Amino acid sequence: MTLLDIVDLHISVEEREIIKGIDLQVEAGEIHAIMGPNGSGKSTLTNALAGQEGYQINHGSAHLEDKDLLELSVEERARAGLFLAFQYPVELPGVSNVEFLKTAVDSLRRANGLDDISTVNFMKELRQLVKKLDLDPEILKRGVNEGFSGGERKRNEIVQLLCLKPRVALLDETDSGLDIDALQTVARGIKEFRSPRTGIVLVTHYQRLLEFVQPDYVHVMLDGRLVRSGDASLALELEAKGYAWLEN
Amino acid sequence: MKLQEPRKPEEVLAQEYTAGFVTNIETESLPPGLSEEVVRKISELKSEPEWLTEWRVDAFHKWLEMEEPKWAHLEYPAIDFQKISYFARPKGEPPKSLDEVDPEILQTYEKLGIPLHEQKMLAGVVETETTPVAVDAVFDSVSIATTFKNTLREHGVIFCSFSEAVESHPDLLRQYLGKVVPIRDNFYSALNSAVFSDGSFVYIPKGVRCPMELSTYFRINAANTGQFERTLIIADEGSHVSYLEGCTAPMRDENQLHAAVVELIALDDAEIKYSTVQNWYPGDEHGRGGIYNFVTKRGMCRGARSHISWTQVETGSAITWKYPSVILRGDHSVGEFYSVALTNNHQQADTGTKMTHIGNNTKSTIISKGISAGKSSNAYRGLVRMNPGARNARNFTQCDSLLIGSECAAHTFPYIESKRRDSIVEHEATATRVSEDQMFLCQQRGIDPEKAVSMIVNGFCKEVFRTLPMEFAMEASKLLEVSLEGAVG
Amino acid sequence: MKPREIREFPPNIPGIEIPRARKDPWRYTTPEPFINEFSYGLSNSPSTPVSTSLGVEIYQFNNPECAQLIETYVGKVAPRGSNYLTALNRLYAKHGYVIVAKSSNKGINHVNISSGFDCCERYLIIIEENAKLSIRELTRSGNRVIECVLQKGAKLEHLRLQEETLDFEFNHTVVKLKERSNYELIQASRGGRLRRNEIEVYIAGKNTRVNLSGAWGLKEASHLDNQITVNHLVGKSTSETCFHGIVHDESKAIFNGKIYIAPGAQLTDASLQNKNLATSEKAEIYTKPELELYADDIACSHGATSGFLDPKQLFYLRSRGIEQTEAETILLNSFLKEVVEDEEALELLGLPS
Repeated sequence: MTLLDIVDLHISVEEREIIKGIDLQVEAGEIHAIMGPNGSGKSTLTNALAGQEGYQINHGSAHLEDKDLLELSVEERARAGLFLAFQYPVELPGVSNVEFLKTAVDSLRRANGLDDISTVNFMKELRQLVKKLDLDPEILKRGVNEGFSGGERKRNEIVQLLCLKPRVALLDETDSGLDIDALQTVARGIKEFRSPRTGIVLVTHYQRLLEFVQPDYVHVMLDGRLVRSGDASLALELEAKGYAWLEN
Repeated sequence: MKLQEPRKPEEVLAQEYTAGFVTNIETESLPPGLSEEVVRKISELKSEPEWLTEWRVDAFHKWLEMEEPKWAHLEYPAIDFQKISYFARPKGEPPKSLDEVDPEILQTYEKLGIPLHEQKMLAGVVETETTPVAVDAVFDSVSIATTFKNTLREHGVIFCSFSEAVESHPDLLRQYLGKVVPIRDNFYSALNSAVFSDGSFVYIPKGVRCPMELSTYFRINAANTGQFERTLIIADEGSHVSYLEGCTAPMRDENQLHAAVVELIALDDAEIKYSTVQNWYPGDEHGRGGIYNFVTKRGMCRGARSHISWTQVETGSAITWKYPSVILRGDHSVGEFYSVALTNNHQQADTGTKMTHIGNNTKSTIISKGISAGKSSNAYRGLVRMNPGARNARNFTQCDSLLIGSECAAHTFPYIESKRRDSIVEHEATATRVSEDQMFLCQQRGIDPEKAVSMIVNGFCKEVFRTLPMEFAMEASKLLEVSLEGAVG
Repeated sequence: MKPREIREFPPNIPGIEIPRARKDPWRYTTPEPFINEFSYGLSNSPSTPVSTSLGVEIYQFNNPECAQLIETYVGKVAPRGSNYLTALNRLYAKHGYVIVAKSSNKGINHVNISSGFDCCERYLIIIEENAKLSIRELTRSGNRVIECVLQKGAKLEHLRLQEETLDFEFNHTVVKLKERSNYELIQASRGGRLRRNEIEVYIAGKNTRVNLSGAWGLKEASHLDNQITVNHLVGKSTSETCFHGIVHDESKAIFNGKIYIAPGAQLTDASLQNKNLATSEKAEIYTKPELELYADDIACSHGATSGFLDPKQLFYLRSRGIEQTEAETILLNSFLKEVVEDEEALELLGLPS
């Protein structure tokens, strides 16, 4: 079953075309990696899919299952099952992680006609998740990302991913700025999310993370286009030869 | 193809005022206008003793000589003091007990969620495990009812309307009235001293910890009427009291004046905690109508180790001019001011505090959170003064502004005056906004824009909400949500 | 500029109120001596600007060559204010200089301004596009209004040294910045009988940068009042203001610092700090850091403190064998050096560099 279906998508920022026609189909159970140098348009693609302001869709379509993503508001896309792990997660001072996640979970549940989750069950699950990602449980009482280190922020994104259980996860450079231990922890979280029902798009410019999370497909993005697709071996080839190899 | 953009926080903001209904009862009021005759008439209507009548008349003459303050960062048309009625009350004999109160009025308080029936309140205790709150309900110019008087009397606590105190506790009243806020203190305190109608009086005897929260609920109902209440709270040595104040008014197109005076006195080792949730009608989205709120609130830490704490959540009023202050006279006394002020649409607020350190080792803390949205203007104005005798005095001030949208304004005017070498004053201020990135994060996690804004604003105010009594904190938080929620364009 | 005949004094100036004591912005400094005790129109001892730089031209106001500049700029650099003392200056200034730093010189131009006594005078300083000017200004007494215009890409380094004085001094400095220009002020002040510095900065172009720093050490009964306003009229600009001061004896220090951000001036980054130490029971500190914000996409903060030397720091130094008084001196000096590094400024403040 196709979870994410992107057809000939063109995206501009401030009148300048950044994404120049992209096709991408993510089937249930698959992991796709999108690799590319800085400025190739990777974050533009993920942010625009999630509905970030300031991106103009000029052409093409993007569906999550049968839903037309481009017609939905940001929160409707989230409720349809789209999750974006941010490259630079922002701080929400004073808004505790528990409060934030409970509100998000309940919003999703309500959208699906379910009652709010019981606080006891929710806290139980959340504490386990936090432990799994080697975070201090105290972090739950603190403001969202407030005073978090870079590594804590990234791991906190994975906590949210596992807690909200979306259908498709777009992970935007979730590996950047992590030491090897944190990288393994994050990889463990991603693998836990992986299931025959979910799809994952990993955006990265190193192949480091891919050593821990085996992708089914690797796509190379250059100047707003996916110029080459292959299996995991493409990432290794890329690592050895560099992006310049594909630029001609 | 059109990309659906996330909604901007300012689009999410819209005032929906839920307390804006009018109670249909017959009111008798004095015709608009102010003169010595009117002042004497108010005193007569309230059957006051001569000393109080003369006190009022004296205040009226002082007021005539004074000028309206213009230094605040506020813009509003001149107030015509002759167009206001200075006294209004429900028609008929004043009720002697709750059973005699007009059912319409009882319903009003019920609608506002203010419990006046002790039985119901007590029944509620079992279900909700909340402690009961004693309420003095002030409707226009008069106190309608005061609950739990008997329970309180058993502990020696006096909690009654101001009018009743004039009758039954004249000595206490004469001893303390106008001692913290003198008649001449400012234009509005002088006006209030001349025409004040009712309010609450509290006395906590030596060593008594007041067994329940005390609360006054002010309701302006009549049109073209000003409300001028006066509250006096005296905490005798070693006593403790927590006091809550709430206020609402109907939605009306004209502006209405509210000029209250609150005086607090804490003797040795006494503690007074005064919390306000001010939700006067703020006017509509075009800036029509709303309450002009010119209030003088001051506490005197008269005794050693006494403690006065102000917490205010200000979401209402078209104009707010309010500086709950503490005079730290007793050695080791403590003054606190925690404030959340939210302005939206065309609301204007100029609010803050004054901490005057006189005694040794006195300490004050100021935490102010200002939120401006729409086309509103929100100013913090503060004064911290270290007098030459204030050995080892300390102040810490944190003053933060949150801007929502590009058309609002936020200002900070903190005056620091230090005449004492070994005192320390620290002041910090920041200004931030609800950023698009924060909104995007919340919405990406499936949260509505309305909910996202109110969550971020609540997070911003957390330090202040922590200081409110439990039930009040929830009310305040809900109130912010209401002020931030509603008609999304 | 001819001083007008004095018919009445102080003169009534239409639209401008005569300032009153105890009322903002004269809450803590009485304006009266600046008006009545100052000898308007009498003193004939002006300051003198000197430069040996190739790119600097200096004219007296009565020089016809600079008539056009005077016409264009004098009294117009700032939006017309309601400053009475500045208006008096306009009426009675006997001396005026125009200083132009030309674009033609690519290097740094230098000007040295040395104060006269008790004089009412005026400066117009123009820094042409991409030109650089460094001013060393020594002030003593008088009523001096300086208007500066920084054209696109211009840079002004302004070192102001204020000597101890038994007289009154009123300085009003207005600086207007156009795109990509850069203003740096370092002000070191000793006390005066009454000394007031009003510094107004108007940021009128994007990608500008303003750094204002200052330090003072006041002794005996001296009185220093700094009134600083940084106006961000357009966005995308940065200002940093930081002043530290020490009051000894019976001296008084007043600091009023204001950041104003105009509607639409998005992406402004502004901060303001004022820290004060008192070493004496009779010294007084008045400080007010203000914000007036009409735009939301900004990074803005301010802070102020007043206090005394940290006993923990003192103890630490003494535990290493340093005498109490020496330890105090070390800490006081370092407090001022945190904001001012310039050697001459340190020397004026009596600090070892």
